[in-house]
Amino acid sequence: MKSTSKKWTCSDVQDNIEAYLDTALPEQEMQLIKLHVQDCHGCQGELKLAQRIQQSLRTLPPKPCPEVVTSSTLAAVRQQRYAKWRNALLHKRVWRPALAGASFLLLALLLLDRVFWHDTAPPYSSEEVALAELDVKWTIAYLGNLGKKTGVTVRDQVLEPEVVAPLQEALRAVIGSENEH
Amino acid sequence: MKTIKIMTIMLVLLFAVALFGQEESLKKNPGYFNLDNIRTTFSDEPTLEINLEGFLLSMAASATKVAEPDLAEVLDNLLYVRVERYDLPRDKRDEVQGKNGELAKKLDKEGWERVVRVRENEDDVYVYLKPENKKIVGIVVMAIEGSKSVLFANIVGNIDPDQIGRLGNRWDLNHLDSARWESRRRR
Amino acid sequence: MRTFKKMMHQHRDRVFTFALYYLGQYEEAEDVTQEVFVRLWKYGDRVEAGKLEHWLITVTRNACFDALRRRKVYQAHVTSTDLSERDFAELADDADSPEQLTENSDFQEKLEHALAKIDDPYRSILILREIQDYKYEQIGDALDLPLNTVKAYLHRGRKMLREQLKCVWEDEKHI
Repeated sequence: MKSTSKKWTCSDVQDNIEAYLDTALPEQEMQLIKLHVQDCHGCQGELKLAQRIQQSLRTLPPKPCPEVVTSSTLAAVRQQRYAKWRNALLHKRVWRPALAGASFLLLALLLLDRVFWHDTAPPYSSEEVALAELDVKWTIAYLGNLGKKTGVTVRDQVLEPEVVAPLQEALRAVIGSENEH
Repeated sequence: MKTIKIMTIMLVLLFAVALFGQEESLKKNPGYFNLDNIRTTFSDEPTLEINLEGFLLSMAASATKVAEPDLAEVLDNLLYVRVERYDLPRDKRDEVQGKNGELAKKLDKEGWERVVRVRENEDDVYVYLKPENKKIVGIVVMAIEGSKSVLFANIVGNIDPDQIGRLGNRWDLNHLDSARWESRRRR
Repeated sequence: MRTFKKMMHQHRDRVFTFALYYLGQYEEAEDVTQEVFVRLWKYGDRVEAGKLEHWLITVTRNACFDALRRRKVYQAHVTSTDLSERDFAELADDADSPEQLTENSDFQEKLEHALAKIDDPYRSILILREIQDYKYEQIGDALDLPLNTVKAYLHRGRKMLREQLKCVWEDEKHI
């Protein structure tokens, strides 16, 4: 803390303007700043700016959360719930008789879920399907790009010996046998 | 009451077995290559992650049938698409390159055909295909992309490379990149 | 599930407001809000009674840190659009009606811009205290800081804003 016995410089005052505005300084220091600001044009400007910032911050409005966030969160939660059940099913030792009780409970939960969720949405939403389409397009485009970059086409390298050549051979054999007849 | 109980149990069991069977049959598919272990090499999450399986792909196929029938055809024949891209810190590069080499050896042993091997500047790319019964049933890509990132991909299904090539050239990767980010952010 | 929905309706605006002022970016704030509530659904039963607000502040803040980290990766992918500029414009449009787009809203816009640039914990404290009106004690609890430190950081945060906005203020005075 600044010693109060000396006169405060502009830099001392400007360091403490925010605390001064919140009246968070001891009374004596509050007075010293007040007196300094009365005579100092520069510090008056800083004080006004600090006040403006404080007021503006306090009047910044809260932002309402868009409805789409709620719906997508609920969709995500629902999906995770299905995944949880699925994992639970997969990791159980299905042949043990104890599963019977658990399975019954699970079915009951599924039914309850239907009752409370009322909707009969397919396991994937149209958004997810559209995203999957984009993902596949991206993958295919990536492969195309890789081909362009490396200058190798799949046909030359693999299709020729693995697919095209055997087909040609088979055709030749058929044509050959027809000619013989 | 007892009959209802037994039927309920049977139904749930059938459901569980069907789900389990679906996962198992994918793993047994000759075009499948397990990329699960790569995750352990990286401390950060992947910067890009695509993981699509049968039913979702068929739904996407039905959705695109009218507007893009050739894409629908490709989608209809795919069983699984997995892509993961990770940031590649400089100090990890050698380690990742080594691991990719090991994976490549494993692929060679398992009857995959290496169709692309490029080591140019800072790129280091492998592309493998799995031919079976005169068809391509799987693709594996391991690509160190410059000094920035590394990408792994496995595609399983009845793949027509010609069609993939044709479609791949139709779309702009950068545009799709932005569209994917945009639609993910919107969700 | 009903309790969860109720909680979400009750707290979503607070979470979204914090995220939006912290990140200055609409879609990211939406993502963060979704992430926070998915976590609440997963781990809600572990939150002590009466500590929900505290938990939400901590988790939202952490999710914002993650979003900033992800933003670096995203910007490496898409370089053509200056997102922060665009979203701050949207933010300002959303806050004020056309008639209010006066000198004051211009200052507020600059203020929001400056706020999203200052370091943490100053940024979090400024949002929580000045915009969201949380008590010093609540902020100290959530950020794990002593009460006096929260107050001192609040003053330091506003001082940082003052330093950043000095030129805007000078320009305004000359107009």
